[in-house]
Amino acid sequence: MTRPKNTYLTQKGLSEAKIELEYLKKVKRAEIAQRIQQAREYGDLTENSEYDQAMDDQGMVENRIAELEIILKNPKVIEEKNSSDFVVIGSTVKIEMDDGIDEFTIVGRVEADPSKKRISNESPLGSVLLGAKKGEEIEVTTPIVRYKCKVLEIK
Amino acid sequence: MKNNQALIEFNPKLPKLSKNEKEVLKLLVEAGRLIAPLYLEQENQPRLNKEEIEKAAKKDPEILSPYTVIEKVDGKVVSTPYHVKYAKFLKPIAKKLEAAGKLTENNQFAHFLKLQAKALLDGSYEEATAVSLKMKPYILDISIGPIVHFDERLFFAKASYQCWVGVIYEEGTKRLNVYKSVALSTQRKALVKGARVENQHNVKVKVVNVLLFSGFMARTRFIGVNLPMDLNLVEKYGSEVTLFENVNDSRIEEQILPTFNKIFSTAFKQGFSTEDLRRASLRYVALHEIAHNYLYYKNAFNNLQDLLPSLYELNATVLGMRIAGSLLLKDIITNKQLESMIIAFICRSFYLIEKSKSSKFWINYATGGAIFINFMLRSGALKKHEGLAIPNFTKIFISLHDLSYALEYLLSAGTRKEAEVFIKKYGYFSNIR
Repeated sequence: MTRPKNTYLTQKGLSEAKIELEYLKKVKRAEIAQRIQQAREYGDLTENSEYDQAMDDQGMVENRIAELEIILKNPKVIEEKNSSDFVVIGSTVKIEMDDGIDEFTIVGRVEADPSKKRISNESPLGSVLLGAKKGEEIEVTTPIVRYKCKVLEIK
Repeated sequence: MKNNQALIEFNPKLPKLSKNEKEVLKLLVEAGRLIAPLYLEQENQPRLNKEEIEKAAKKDPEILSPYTVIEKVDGKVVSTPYHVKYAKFLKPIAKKLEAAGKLTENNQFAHFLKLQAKALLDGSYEEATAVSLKMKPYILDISIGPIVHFDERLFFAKASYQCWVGVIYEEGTKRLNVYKSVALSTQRKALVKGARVENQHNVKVKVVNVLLFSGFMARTRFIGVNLPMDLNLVEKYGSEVTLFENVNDSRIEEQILPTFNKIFSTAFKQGFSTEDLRRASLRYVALHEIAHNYLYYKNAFNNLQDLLPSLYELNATVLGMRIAGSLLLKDIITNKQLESMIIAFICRSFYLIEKSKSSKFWINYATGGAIFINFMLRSGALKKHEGLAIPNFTKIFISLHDLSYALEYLLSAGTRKEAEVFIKKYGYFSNIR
């Protein structure tokens, strides 16, 4: 069996993950179980949208619980002390790529949320940016996509 | 699914609705059904030719309004506003909306329905549009009235009556919001500085499960729209992308899968499941609609006229695929998902090119598809062998950039002549059918 990969987390991210896991296990599980029970009482499960929805939600919650448990087995807490010389986990970078200017923070996978400008250090873009210096031009590639990316600023 | 030419009713899986919401929804569906005969009436309106319209428009600019009917009366070209011409159809629809407005427990939705009913009767569409774009998200969704679109090669666009009624799909809306935030927060430069309406900060998105498509929407069965199309309204109030989750299922069954089975080899097909294609079809349309918000070039309509629609729609798809590339680099989608999106669009293009043999209705989209296919064939990104298509995804992605620049140049600064040359060079069907 391969050893699970370390997951990088800030102290804040670690606390949030623990709180979320506790909430899902102690509150959300019971809530959904109650919804399933109520929906069963409506009868005919084949045409019962409340039941279907509750079952879907239960699946999602259980998956998330499993994911958080794996994450919290081997967390690697990173210091939130950033370097402006080169990109590290925790750096906020401004880049130029594909005719656009983009700015985001590189975080561990658990805390990644691209809609809030937090990109995972394991993503193709996050991983090539680690160690890059201001002004450096790097290439980010996947089997399909190949872009040049210039680091404009590191905060 | 009940289906006729101007009305389709669906039976989607819906979330739990309150009694009040169910009652309001019933009224909205009833209002939507009444759009179908009005749309058919519009369709049967005799059309005047371009020269006659242009000549008459010099004396009466209202002729060019998207919301007027143009007719010949005693040899003279006259225009009548929609709300006057179609009043007898519109009154019962407005009544249903007013009744739904009085019934709903959501104040903002009530206000919107009241204004929309008024707009149908007096033509004050802007007021209702403004309110709908400012409204907070609500579980019930309706769009009803005339919308501007490109369905024919006229030199201007007339609005068609349409309606959709649906219920918001919350999970889908959350996902679409992630795409939107990532896609539109990148400051993507305009090809020509100052030539574009910069609307990217003011875009709403939603995913809907549809109960009813009526009028123009029943005819097109779009799975996504980005409205309004009027740049002045976009500049003032922003825009909204709507994705129709369950309508995508019939597109997959009727268009994408049969084409997929026809144009790709058995070995190639094994790499993509129906579910891959179903999600890919929604995903590329979602990014297409979002990408429109980077393509509001102010002079495109005047410069390219009747040639704009095919170039504009294709540019949105191609730019959407480029945006998908950046989503891939940020771990939001996978390589396989991007490949599936390209495949879904290739299938849709082949389907529309074939369809345009029997109907001119889809000609703009078919031309866009032909440009894409021929561009990829010429660059070697797509090959044809014994009637089968063989894509090279890496090359396609590189060629997408070249095609995207060519199209965006035409939208931002191209002339009609340049667009004509470009379409002649790539937009032919002879080698594809």
